[in-house]
Amino acid sequence: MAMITHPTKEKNTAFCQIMATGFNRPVMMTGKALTLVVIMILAGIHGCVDIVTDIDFPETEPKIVVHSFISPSDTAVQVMVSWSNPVSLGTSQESIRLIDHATVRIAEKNQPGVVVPYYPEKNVYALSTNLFPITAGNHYTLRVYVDGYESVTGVCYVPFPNNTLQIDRYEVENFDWSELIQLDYSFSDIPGQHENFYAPAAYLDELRYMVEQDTIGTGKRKFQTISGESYISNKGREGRRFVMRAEAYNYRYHWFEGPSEDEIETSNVYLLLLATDEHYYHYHKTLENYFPDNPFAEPVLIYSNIEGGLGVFAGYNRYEIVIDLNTSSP
Amino acid sequence: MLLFWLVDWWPRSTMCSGVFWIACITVSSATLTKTFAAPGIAGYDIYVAEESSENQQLQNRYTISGYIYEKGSRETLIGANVIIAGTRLGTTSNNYGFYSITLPADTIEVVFSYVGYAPEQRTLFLQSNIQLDIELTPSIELAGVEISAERTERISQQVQMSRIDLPVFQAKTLPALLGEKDIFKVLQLLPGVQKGQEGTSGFYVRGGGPDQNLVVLDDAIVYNASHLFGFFSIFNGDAIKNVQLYKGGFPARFGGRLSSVLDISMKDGSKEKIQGEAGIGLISSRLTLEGPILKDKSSFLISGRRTYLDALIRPFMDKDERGGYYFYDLNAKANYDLDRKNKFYASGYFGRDKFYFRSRSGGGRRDEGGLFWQNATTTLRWNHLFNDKLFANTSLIYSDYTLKIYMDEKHENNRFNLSYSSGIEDLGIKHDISWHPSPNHMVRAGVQSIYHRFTPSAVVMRDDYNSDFISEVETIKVLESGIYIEDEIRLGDVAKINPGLRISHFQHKDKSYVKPEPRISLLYFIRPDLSWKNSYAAMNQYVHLLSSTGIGLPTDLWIPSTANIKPQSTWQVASGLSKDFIDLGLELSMEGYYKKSDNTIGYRPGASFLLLNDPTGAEQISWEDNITSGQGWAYGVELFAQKKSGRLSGWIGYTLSWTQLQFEEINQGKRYYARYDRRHDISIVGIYELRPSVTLSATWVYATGNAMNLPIAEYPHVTHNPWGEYGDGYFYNISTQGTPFNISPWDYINDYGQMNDFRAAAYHRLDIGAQFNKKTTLFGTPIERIFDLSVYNAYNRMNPFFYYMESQPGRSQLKQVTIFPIIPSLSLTIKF
Repeated sequence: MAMITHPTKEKNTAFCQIMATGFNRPVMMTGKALTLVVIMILAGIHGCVDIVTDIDFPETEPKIVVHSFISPSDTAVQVMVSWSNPVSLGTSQESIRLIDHATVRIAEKNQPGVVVPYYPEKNVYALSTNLFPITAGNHYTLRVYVDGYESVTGVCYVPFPNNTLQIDRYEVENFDWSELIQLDYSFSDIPGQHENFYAPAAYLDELRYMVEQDTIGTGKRKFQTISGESYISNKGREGRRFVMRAEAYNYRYHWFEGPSEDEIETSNVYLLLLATDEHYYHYHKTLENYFPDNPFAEPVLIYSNIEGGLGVFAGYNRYEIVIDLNTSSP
Repeated sequence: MLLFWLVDWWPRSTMCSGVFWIACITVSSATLTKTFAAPGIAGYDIYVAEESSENQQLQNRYTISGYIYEKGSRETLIGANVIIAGTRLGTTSNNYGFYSITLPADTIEVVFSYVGYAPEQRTLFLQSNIQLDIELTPSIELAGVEISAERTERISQQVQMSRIDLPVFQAKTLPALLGEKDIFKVLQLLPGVQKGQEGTSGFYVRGGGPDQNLVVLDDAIVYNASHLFGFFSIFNGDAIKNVQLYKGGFPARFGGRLSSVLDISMKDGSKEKIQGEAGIGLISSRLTLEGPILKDKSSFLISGRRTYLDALIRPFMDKDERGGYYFYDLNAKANYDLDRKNKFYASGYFGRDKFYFRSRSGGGRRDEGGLFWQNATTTLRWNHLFNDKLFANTSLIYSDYTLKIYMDEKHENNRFNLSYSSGIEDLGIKHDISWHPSPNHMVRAGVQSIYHRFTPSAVVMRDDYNSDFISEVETIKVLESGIYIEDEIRLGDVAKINPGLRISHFQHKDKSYVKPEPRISLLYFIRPDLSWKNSYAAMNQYVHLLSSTGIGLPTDLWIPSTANIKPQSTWQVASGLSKDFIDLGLELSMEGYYKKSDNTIGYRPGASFLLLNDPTGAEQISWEDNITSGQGWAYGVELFAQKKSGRLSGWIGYTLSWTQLQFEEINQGKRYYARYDRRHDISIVGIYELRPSVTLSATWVYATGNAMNLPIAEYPHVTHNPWGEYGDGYFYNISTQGTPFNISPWDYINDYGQMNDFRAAAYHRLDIGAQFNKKTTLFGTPIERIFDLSVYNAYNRMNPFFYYMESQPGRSQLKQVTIFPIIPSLSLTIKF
């Protein structure tokens, strides 16, 4: 069993959660101030008369947690399998417990399916889509067997791509150390027999310092959404055009050594429209609202379509537009 | 002031609509009078046309009508019984103490009775209409009062089911938390009514949420009926005359909420002499004064209550660092009897809770902040008797609820000021008539229109440090109206029926909802003291409380229905048996109910008021987008045995119930048990008069624990990374390089199992109390002194308030927090 240790695992407070929602500074101050006042009051009341008793917590068995997102555009089907950590064991604060000895099978609906082997270097089960192609309009079943436990299953659907995505406007504002890129983009829902789900996003090429390798690598940084939703359902809005605005800073210098200005300036912007199934949508939507330490909200139960276990098995399809910032003009 | 509001604020459409409705009803009233008035009969002698053919065959009918008062104070009595001896005929006094009964000419014996008062019996020669006002004498000693079938109206005779009249004098005898007598806490002891959290005064009726209770104080809606985060209700028992709770079988005159109606009437004030009551307890002290303004014409009552902990600790606090909490409330009422046909009432309530802190530090820096919430209501009422059979009341109502959180920081010339507020303000008009043509009919009709102004959230921020000023105030104006008619019909000695129809209307911008709400109650006499009752009621609710915590914080938001948020609706059927054991003075009822709710609204998972509609936010999130709607089911059986009089009085209540909810976005769309789903709920209440000067009391309650979410396990926080590279900004997470998985190094996901899967420990508690009364003199004035001793949670049961998980090496420990162990308290009341 492989263990991944988290470099930093801090207990989040409600303040952190409110701040983590991506609000700018005045909002942090608003949220913080309001929360502070209410928490002080509640703490004052409870502080006076608390009587605390230890309660026997029922022992719970760990559950199999499965994560997999499949698409015709991916080179491989990848599946991550891990254990949930029952809180009664008290070890959960430290690590993820990956399962490396499971039998993972993927199948098209009503077909026998194939085994997805384990790749220890990536900590996932993976199978090339050359060997097992994923096609739009199909349902797939994923089953995970672990000795001594009931198998767990998930079913997903791979939708057709939506290629109505277009860039409507982009603007670059220059500052001393960076430039601010602002994008307007949109797409139209293509109504079908069923509800449609989308996950639109914009990304920017970025150079990153890789701690473990001590090198500079490339990565993609997501634009911050200014208006529009990150996960969209067309329910009640069939056929509508969805408009998004997003912005990101493109830094000329990093605080660590590495990238030169020239390299940065060749950056591309990527517009991505994922057409997803309902599981992808519900899972990410509940995660988006997940603030476990917010004392003012009922806890969010994270969506799962893994029968007998936890996690998600979801299908999606991808449409992409690339904009070269150096050759395109705003 | 109110007129100013009316002129300044009432939109033209509201005015037209309100005036139109009232014109309709008034015309109808006049038409009734004209149609059914027989010409040539003077004064109040008015026949009913449909009866005149009967009269020709039978005999003349005459009306006995008047007001029923308390002897001495001349306080009107609500719901007093008027029984015609030797028959099953009778009526009750209305909310203003008025009664009317029309009978064939005869010599009759009429018995007037009311719980806690000695009955009065009169022999009348009914040869003409009789106006008869009755005064009943309060009787603390009830043991000696003979109880007979003819002296009291029995539960088995009332067509209305699912209604409980809470005896205020009993409520004042029962033991209470910290000695604060609270009618809401007593309501929680009744079957079908459940408490929320330990010690809090919010209540849940037949599975409905706290916002589904229509709480009206002298016709004015009260939006947040709690002090100190719900630990105490805002109703000061000293100023309250009558409390009626409807759990189902709602008559058509009530509407606007799904689950219950709590109708509270304030005392009018003694018309005889100036008198008062002062009390001092552990939490608060209180003072009530009442008396005549003009002898037998008008009177007043003023009653106030305030906590004083903040004042006591103030001298011990650093003068540069001060903070504290207080609440106060003030009830005031005045009335004026112009003549027998016209009476006027003005009543008002104002109450506030406030937490605050202030500090001063070097360099002239000053910080202050706090949180307060307040309710204000004003009602102006005009009672008018068109004739002895036709009574009308018109009310003008104002109600306001505000919550505010504020912070203010001053340093040199810079200031940072932030305030958040939310609230609701109402202006309403209401016109009701009751018409008593014969003992076999009692017709009620009326109309109501309320103009609501909501402020779901208002944020104002001034930041001199960053030269920032933000002011975002959103107000929503809506109009809610209703028109109704109902008739309580007696079908001989076999059955009674009360059919009714209410049509409700709601307007928000261009969107309007019109919903018919049929209501019916049926009673069938199996035996004279045993009846079978059935009811059906459809209800709609257009204003909603968004509660994210379930613990009744004042920070919950009131919001209206809109084009996107449909009104909540419900229908309820109930069936039950009522039996009177006349010799024992005991009432027994058993009711089963089934309630289905639709468009029930709640926050989307994870949403809460602090994240909503923040005007400074990059992402504007509207409260409308944070609402999810679903459906609910509640069903159960309630048993209630009550003894209202005698040396030993009290009740035993048992409820077996189920409450389930289903929201598309919660629990993956599967049904789940609501937080306050209670399989079993038992309450036993006993009051024993040991001696005339000593009363002992005890209550014992048992309830199944709340259904709640508790994390049972944690698992990785994984999101999809469509690039399969380094993730969306999580630099450290190199272990999944080249995979489509972003694993957050900071967060884990809690596995709660199914929604509300964890059951808190069962709740049970015994409270005991004793009251010692003594009549004595103070400075030569005769007074009554009452010592009240209460022991809350007498056997020190550690009931759960909330749970949390504490991580320890090798194992996490679940902790349960109790907030009220055994708490004795003492209070002193002086009546003068």
